[in-house]
Amino acid sequence: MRGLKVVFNKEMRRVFREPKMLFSLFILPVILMIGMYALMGYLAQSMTQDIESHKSIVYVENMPEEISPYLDDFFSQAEMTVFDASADLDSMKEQVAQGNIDLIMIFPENFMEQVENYTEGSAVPDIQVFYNPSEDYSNEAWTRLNAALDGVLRPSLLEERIGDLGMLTIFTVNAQGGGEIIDEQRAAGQILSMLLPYLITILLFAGTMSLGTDTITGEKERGTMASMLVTPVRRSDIVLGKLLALTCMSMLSAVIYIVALVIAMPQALGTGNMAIGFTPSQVIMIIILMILLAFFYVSLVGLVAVLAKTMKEATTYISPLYIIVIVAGMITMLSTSGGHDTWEYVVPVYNVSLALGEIFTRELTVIHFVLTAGSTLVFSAILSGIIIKAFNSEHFMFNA
Amino acid sequence: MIEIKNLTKIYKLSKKQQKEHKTKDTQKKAVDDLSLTVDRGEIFGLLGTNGAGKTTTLRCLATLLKPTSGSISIDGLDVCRDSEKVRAKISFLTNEIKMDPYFTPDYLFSFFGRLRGMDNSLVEARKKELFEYFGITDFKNKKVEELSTGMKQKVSIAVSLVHDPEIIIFDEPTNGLDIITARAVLDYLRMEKEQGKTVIVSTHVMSEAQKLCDRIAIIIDGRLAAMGTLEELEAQTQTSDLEDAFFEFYRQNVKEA
Repeated sequence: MRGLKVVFNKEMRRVFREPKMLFSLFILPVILMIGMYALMGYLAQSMTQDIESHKSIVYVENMPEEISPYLDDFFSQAEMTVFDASADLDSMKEQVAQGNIDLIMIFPENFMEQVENYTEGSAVPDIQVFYNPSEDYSNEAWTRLNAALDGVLRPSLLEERIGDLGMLTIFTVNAQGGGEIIDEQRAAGQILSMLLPYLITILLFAGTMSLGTDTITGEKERGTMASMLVTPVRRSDIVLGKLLALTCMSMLSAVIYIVALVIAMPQALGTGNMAIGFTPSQVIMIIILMILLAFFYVSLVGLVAVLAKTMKEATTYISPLYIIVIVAGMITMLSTSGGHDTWEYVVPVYNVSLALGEIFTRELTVIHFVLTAGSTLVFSAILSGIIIKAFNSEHFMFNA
Repeated sequence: MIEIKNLTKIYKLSKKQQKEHKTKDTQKKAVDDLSLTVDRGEIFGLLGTNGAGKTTTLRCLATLLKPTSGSISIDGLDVCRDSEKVRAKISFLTNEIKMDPYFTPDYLFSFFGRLRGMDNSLVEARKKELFEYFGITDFKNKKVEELSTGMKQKVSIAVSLVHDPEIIIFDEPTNGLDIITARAVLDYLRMEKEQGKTVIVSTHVMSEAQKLCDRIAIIIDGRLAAMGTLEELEAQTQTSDLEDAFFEFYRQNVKEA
């Protein structure tokens, strides 16, 4: 145990006495993340603004003068070009496909006559509209036109035809608005339950990757590991001292990252507050799972690091693991809540991600929690045991 | 007393290593049936060319490598079974063991002291003594990565001696040192011997072995070619200095092979 503590302290000192390490491990990821979300928020906002301020390019045929007042709102934000039957419709459609024209609207000839002279059973006049849903400007023009046709033109013409619109409406729903009742904590919990387990699973790994390979493969490669191996300290003390220090550091970096995320992301994205209230037992479960997952990752990275001869080799082996971790986290983000089989709670990484998500939505049962925590601990212990064996092997420690 | 009996160490060669050594053999016999004893309180030298098996022998002694066959005992302790106890008794220095570049000599000395279970006041006393002897005090608070090769070697030597070991195993200790410091290291080893410590050094510098060692083993291609005091080796080869004696043994053994 004495050796374990001495090794642990040295590993911690290595990081905390080195400004470069502190910066790259704890500060840089936060800056990058906040910067990235701020940029995303800014770009999304400016895109929306750009679309909204764009004047739609609209081509119109046969529009009766009587109806243009009803579509004022639409045409005030559009550059209208009137064309007649002699124009080449196909080439205009091609322009829509290419995004040069946002929308083509063709009224039937004598549209108003057809409307006014309508009798039961006769043909309903049809307005043809062409637009391109994959073009933002065109899509926006279509949305606005649709709103104008449905919300203004049709009710107005109906009113002319039958007099009282109430005859057709029969009843309204929430005409005064204000029907939504939202439990903000639960709503926030749902966003968090999707996002945070995923982020925790990948962030803990990211924190471990570089440090873990450096402290094991790096020390082997630099020849500094051997200086510890010639002391009478047990190999298991060296291994556990290193693994525990790594666990602490990856926990710390993940916690800093998550706190920064919860505080900064709503501001960066320009959405509302995402603050969420946790009960003490939730916090304890989250912390236990994070520690266990961190320890599992550390053992996994440690094993790869001890088997690899060079840093380059270690990095090559660890990249695929990182992808697996990302996928495991993503599966839980996309899967629907509830109804998971018991075996899913013993699949490493995936189980923790799943359990974390269920803690946020308050669905996790005690048995599933114990299964998740227990299996993660067992896997970590097995991996640590293999690492200790490898530390006793001259083949892995000295490439002999 | 150190007793090496029929020590053989065979390395497996990977494909890459086979290419490097330009051989098709899948294994390399680094040490071949080597037997020797080192008495308490003597300075014993291993002399040989590069790749002769000196370092491998010393690494086996230091418990870092396990013999393929044969046995090594140090004061009655077996290097395989009692490796932790053996490591507590010995100091081992080789150029493949490096000091962590991110720390200062001051911290590393204390770290290894604590790792060996020494209490702080004892570590500080040893630090003062060894840092002054090897002239480390001036740069003890600089990071190792900022030090020159010679400075690093001095730090390695001092750190390896933190626990005042009974047995000192140094693999080419004067490598990279200037003539003054090299002399200081050799003087230190003599001083240790006077205090009853056992010293084993490997070297390919003949003059060093000649001046320092009580007895010398000449190792050629992993095998013990000769062993004895300087005078005995010279008498066996009818030469008058170690270098000539070494060439004579080398000629005989390589011719036989």
